[in-house]
This record gives sequence, C-alpha cells and structure tokens, in this order.
Amino acid sequence: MTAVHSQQVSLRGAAFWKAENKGLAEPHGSKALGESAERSSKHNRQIAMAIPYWEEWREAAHQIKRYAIFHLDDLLVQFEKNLTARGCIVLWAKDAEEANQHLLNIVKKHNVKTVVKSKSMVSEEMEVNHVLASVGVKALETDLGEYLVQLAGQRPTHIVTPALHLSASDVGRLFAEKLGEPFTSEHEKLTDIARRHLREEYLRADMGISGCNFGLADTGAICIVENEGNAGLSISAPPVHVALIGIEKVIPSIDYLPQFLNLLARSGTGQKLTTYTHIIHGATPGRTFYVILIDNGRTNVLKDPAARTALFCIRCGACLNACPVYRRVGGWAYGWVYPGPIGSILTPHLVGFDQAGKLPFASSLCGACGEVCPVKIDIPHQLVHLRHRAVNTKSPVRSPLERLIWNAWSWAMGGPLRYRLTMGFVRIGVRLAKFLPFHPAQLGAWTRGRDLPLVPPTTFRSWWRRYGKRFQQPSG
Amino acid sequence: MNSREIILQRIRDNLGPRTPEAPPPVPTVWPRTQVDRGTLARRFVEELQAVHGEAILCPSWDAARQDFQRLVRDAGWKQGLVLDRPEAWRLASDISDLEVHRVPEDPPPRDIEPMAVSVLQADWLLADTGSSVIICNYPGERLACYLPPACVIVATADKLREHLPAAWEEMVPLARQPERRGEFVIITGPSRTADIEKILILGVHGPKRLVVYVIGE
Amino acid sequence: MVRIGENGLPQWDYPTYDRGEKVALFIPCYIDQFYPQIAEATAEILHRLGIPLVFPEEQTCCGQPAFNSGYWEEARRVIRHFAKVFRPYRYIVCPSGSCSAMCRVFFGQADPDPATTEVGSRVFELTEFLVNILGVTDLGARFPHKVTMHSGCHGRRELGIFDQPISLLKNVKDLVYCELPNIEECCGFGGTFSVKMPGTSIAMGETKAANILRSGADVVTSVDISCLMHVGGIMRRKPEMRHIRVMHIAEILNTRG
Repeated sequence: MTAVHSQQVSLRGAAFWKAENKGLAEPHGSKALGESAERSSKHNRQIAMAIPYWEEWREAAHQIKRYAIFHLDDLLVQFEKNLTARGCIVLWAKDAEEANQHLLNIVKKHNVKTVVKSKSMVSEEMEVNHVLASVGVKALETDLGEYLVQLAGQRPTHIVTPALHLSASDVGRLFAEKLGEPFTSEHEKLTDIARRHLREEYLRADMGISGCNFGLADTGAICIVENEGNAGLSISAPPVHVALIGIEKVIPSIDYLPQFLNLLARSGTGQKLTTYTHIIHGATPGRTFYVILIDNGRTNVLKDPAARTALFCIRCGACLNACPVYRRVGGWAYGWVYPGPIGSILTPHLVGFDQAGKLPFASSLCGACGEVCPVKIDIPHQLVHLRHRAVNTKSPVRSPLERLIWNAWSWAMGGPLRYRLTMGFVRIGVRLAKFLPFHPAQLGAWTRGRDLPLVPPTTFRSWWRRYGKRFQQPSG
Repeated sequence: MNSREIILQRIRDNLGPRTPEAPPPVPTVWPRTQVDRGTLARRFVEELQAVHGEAILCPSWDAARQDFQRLVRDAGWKQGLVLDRPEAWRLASDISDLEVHRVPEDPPPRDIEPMAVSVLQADWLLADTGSSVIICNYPGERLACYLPPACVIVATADKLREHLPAAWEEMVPLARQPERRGEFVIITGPSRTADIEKILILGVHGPKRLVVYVIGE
Repeated sequence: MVRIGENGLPQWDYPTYDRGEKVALFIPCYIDQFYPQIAEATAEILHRLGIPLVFPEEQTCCGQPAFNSGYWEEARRVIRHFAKVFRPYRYIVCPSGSCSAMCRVFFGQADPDPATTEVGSRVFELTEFLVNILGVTDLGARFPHKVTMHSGCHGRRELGIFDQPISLLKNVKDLVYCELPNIEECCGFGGTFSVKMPGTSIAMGETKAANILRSGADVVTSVDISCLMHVGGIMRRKPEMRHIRVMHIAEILNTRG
C-alpha cells in the first residue's frame, strides 16, 4: 500500500475527510461553479444524445479500456520498448515520491532553473510545484485556470476548468496584487495579461512538463489534447520535455485513438475535437524527451476485481458536471486531487480507506455520473461496493455502533412479527416527535428542513387482512 | 528489484492468471459516406467558422496569393515564418511587405518570437470538424504552430477527407514508421479558453487568428 | 436482458403475462406503514384488470437501506428472507421504482447466491408491469387536475422507467399534464443520504420543489413515494407551495370517472 504524505492531503475545507464531521458536509460550494457545471452537463448531454452512435461508442471504448487494463503489464512493456526506440528515456516510479526523485535528477542533470507545466492530474498527486520549489526551481502552470489557482495559492476545484470558482473581478484583483497589473475585470484584457506574462516564461524555460491523455503502446507515441496551445508551447519551446504518465493511460494501439478523441472532447467540453490534438513520436532531433511511468496506487485498484473499471477514466470531468452533490459542495470538499464521483471511487484506493473511506458516501446514488461516463464506468455500483469495503476496514466510517444498529434492523426485518413490532414503535416515535423540545441525531437531520410524514391510523397489512380476500379472485 | 519490475509484478499479482484473448475490433466511429469534394469543402468552411477560424476556398493559386496579399496588408503583418514545404512557400513567397523566413530546425524560441504570422502546410483537412493535420518533423516546425499570434494554413483541395477516421487510414502507416520523430498536430480553430467564468476568449497562448486556404476544385 | 436505448435509458426484455396467473404484491415497508392508500390503490388497479392477487404477509423489506450503507452481510439476511417469501410467485409487482431496482439490479451485487437474484429478477414496478407486460396504457381513470411528475433516479436509470408513467398519466381523463423543468435531476432523498448529508439533501430537495412550483401543477406525482416524502416534507414548510398536493401515481390511476 503506497503511502501519501499527510501534508499532501490535508486541505482547507476538506469536509468529507474529518471523522468527527459526521457527514454534515454543507452545500457551501461556489454558486458559479454549480451553475456552470449544470449548464455544461446539459449542453454536453444534448450533444451526446444527438449522436446516433453514442452508446455504441461508449461500449467500444469500455471494451478497449477493459482489454488495456487486463493486459497492462504487456502493454507497458511494449510501450516502453517503442518509446525507447523513438529516442525517449523511460523511467518508472512506484509512487509520487519516486516520480519526484526522477524529476529532481533530471533537473540537476540539465541544470534546470525554470519549468513550464501544462495540465497533468498525476502531477497534482505528486505536488510537483512544491517539490521543485524546494530546490529553488520555479515551476509555472501554463493552463490559464491552473495558472490562476497557482497565483492564488489555491487548489483547483474542477478537473477541466480549475478556476471556475473565481469571478473576473477576483482574477483582476489577483493580477493587480501578484503581477502588478492595473485592475481590470474585462475578460479579453485579463487573458491578454496572462498571455503576456506566460509568453515570456515559455521563451526562457529550461524544461517543459506535460501530462498525457493516451499512451499508444504499439507506436510508442503519446497523445495530448488541449485548447489553449499552452501544452504545445510548454513541450516544444524548452530543450527538455518530461511527460508524466499514469500507468493506466496506455491503450493498445493508435488504431483506437479516433474513438477516444471523439468521446473525450464531447464529454469534457462539448466540442467535436479540441483545438489542438498532439500525437508525439519520440524526441525531435536535438531535444531530450523523458517519460515517467507512474503507479502511485493504481495497482491497488487492480487488486479489487469489482473496482478495476475506475482505471478506465479518461479524465473528462463529465461526472463532476453531472453530479448534484459536486455542484453544491464544490471541488475542495473532496479533499484531494480528484473531486466529484471519480474522486469518490479513485481516491480511497490511491490514498487509503483509512483517510478517504468516507468519500463514497458523498452521494445520493442518483446515477447521473454513470449515465454520462464516456467509458461506461459503473460509478454507482462502485460507490456502494466501496461503501461496503469502507465499513469493513479501518476508515472514518467504520462504526461498531452503526453495525449494531444495522444488525438490529436486519433482525427486525427478518420476520413478519418482528417487523410489525419494530414498525409499531417507529410509528409511535414519529407521532410523538412533534412533542419533543428538540430533535437529536438523525431525526434532527430530517426535520431541520422537512416535515415528517403523517402517520395514518392503519397499515396496509391490517387493511388487507380485512378486505384482501376479494382480490384473490380475478374480478368478473 | 527495480521499480519497473516491482510495478510489473504488482500488476501480475493483482490481476492474477489471465486467459489469452484478442484485442477488441477497431470501431468504425463514423461511417464513411460518398461525398463529393465540393460538399466536403463547404462543410470544412462551415465547421471551421463554427470554431472561430476562417476558411477561404480559392479556385487557383493566383486567387489564393491575391487574397493572402490582401490579408497581409489588412493585418499589417511584417514578418512571416514559413514551414519548409512547397505549398507553404508557394502561398507566402514574394508577397509585398511580408518578410518571410524559413522555419529553422531548432531555433531558440526568442529568435522567432517577433514573427507575426506562421504559414503552414496541411497534409490533410478534416471536413466534419474543420481541422487541419500538420506533420511537424523538427522542434522549429512544432513551435511555428503555436508561437506566432496568427496562423495561416494552406492545402490543396485533394487533401480534404470526410473526418478523422477517414484520414486515419493514411496517417497511421506514417505514424508506424520507426524512424519517425516529431509530431502530428491536428489544429481545429484558433487557440481558446473558457477558464474565466466560462466566457470564451480566443488566443490565450497560441494563435488568436487561424486562416485556412483550400486551393483547387 | 438489458441494453441501453438511444434515449440513454436501459431497455429491459419483459416476460409476457399468462392470464389468470397470480401476481404477488410487494409493498415496501414505508408504504405499508405510512402510505397504505398507495398499496390499496395498487391492489384495486390490478384487480380491475382481472388479475388474481396475493399479498404474502411474511414480507418485510428489500434490504436497500442496509445495502446502500455498505452493510451487505446484514442486508443479505433480509434479502434472503425476501427471496424465500416471494419464491413461489412468477410475477411480483411493487409500487416503487427504487425498491424494484434494488431487487432486479442490486440483489446480484449484494448476494452471490443465484437463487436470490432469480427471485429478484421477477420484481416489476407497477407502471412497467402495466405498460410493458400487460400492454395497458389507459385505465379509465379521471382526475381533473394539473399534474406534474417527478422521475425517480433508480427507477429511471436502472430500470428505464420514464415513458410508462407519463403515457399512463396522459391517458387519464381531464388530467392536464405539466412538464417538470429539470425532470431528470435527483430530488436529494437518496435513502440514508437524506440524514447523512442533510444540508445537501435539503438543498437538492428545495431545487426540486422550486421546479415543481414552476411547472404550474397543483399535484405532483411519481412512481416513488420516498422521493415525494422528502420533497413533500420540504414543500409543507413553504407557504407558497402548500397548495401543491403530493400523490403516488397509483392513487391517480385508481380514480374513476
């Protein structure tokens, strides 16, 4: 079990982590984020439903990913071989710590002082920017949203649009404070400021770090998609390029790429294709290209046969946009790199149930996530499966008291007489509730915003006992 | 055991014994239909415009060069970076008021920073998405796609394909060549972002303006 | 058995109904205890269609609350009791989308015993039994009111229940069907979620209630009274919504003209 340093996972507002915060995570997320996520979700869903092949596409992608995960060892070996044949230097990292160590070695070897970085979720797992800063290397996020949260000293709140919680005025104030720019809240002007500052960084950077959307095992190529052009600049301007690749990103063949490109752009941003799709074949002459293949807990997911589909994720963010809980509580409530439904089913494996066991409970099990996932991850089934694991292992939700209650409940529901007895008490309790001066625990959780149901004088059972006979014969 | 062995062993241990199986069939994605070139060209224009690019269909090279001359004058471009490809040169050479430079193989980025516009040649055009596929072999060529604030792409009409899967059949054999280095870039419109309040802004890092000339019948 | 249709919803294969075959009523615990009129209406509807009914009195619960909370060993005891009670019956009809989904979809996850899953596969929600199995969409009901429908998540996403209740409602005489804005959004009940994350649950319910108000309806209905218990509880606290009645679809379909 790979360990993650505790300082990496203690985050402001990580409501779902605290054992003492008994599930009372409040809807305090940014309203702008919620509304924007809802709009994206509706828009992208409309687009998907208008494509007659959408369900076929999802099934095809699911099967390809299933094959890839089930043959991950062979594919990684093939990928490494073909990458090396194209002049890449391939390094392997068991965990974030080792990946960072590789990075520091590369920095030392190439005398790197400044780094430009495009979006990479695995780099967030590694906390790359802090690690580089600790050796005096300035690492700048170039994706505009990531650049903004980096300037603000915050964590991203969404996989695809990291700074959605910031208004234009917030950004203006940020630029005024951190960059010494005159205040403006006009979007064009703000983007111009960012462009100017970042352009200078691309020109002088010694190294570019990128992620990778798809690793193509059969050709030794990597595919990166983006809209801003920052990834293209980050990897082609500096003399050294390091690609950080989670081991689950490998797919068997370049033949499958069009399927994923068609799904990813639509699920992520409602586009037919992203502005730039880069298919990179090794190091261009005169340049150095490192690939770091990173485990960091992904192999833990493989150990659990019911959980393996979580590794199919292509990081589109559609499940976040669709999730009514995420929309209301925001990205930070999930406490780590991955928010929303995918975060709830991945984080416990990567970070440990002892810290993240509560995450799968942050859901009403509505199933919106599973419905929109382009690779058909069975997220709702995973959520209940992980709940089952969480209550049976060391985790913030394991509770002998709750176990006792469910045991008693299953006894009560084990036979008709026990059932009637127990429900009799429940009915009395609900009737008496309005006379109580205050409502404790679960009762209070209900009544703080809702009336209790009315208790009718009879039950269906007693009705059937009196009138049920005539229903046993078909009517005339 | 080194990390490579540790990771591979973890995978084998956690997946357990596996029965051999063939990989899944390559999905069709989009069906191929018989579309004439004129329709493809029109579709290409529509799709590129939908993503805020500009597409200009020219019946001849003379018409294209004339239009490019007009473009250069209106935009006030003084220095152009041209990909070392015949069609890119054919469009961009001897245009008045435009000083053209061949893209060096591996220039220090600062040297090409002052270029106002890049002129690229597309190897395929994808009608259904308004995309241009550029094969870049050298670092300078890759940089030319992203650094200058404006980007002009030229291709003859015979490069039009219906969609990505249609072009893929021709792209893959090239990608498989073991000596291939560099990048296939698929460009679909000018650079864009919606990271601030989800408002769309063009030209955040890459080119703010993208123009594609499609030449021929 | 089930594939995803073009509308993104699962499409199940349904058995045919042999005339005269007994149908067993599965009445969820909260309906038995708090909304018996729904079960009564269900019985009346099926009786009028000439179906002989059985109510196995030893039934208790489908096990969903324990299952959703992760206590599968405990849930399994209840699920196996369910399977024992309902084993003799080929058709089991239940006026709840969420409980029916538990039986047909989640029994398999909760219990490795295929005998249990087999019984679960015979459970059908009322409207899917009427429309998909009996082929009935008009029950001769009359309900002269403006009615909107909330679509419960489990019933829709796991069982594909959506068109069936709508077509039944639209055939009710003098009923004015009002579209619910954002019909597919979760109401926030989610079983124990309603008390484990009450702040978010109530916020979701308030959004649903606001949409119900926007629909202009005087009555809100659903195939799931559990959702309506939660949203109804919220609406009762808001003066501008108190005029909106909450009724299970069985109660509306059981009205006579």
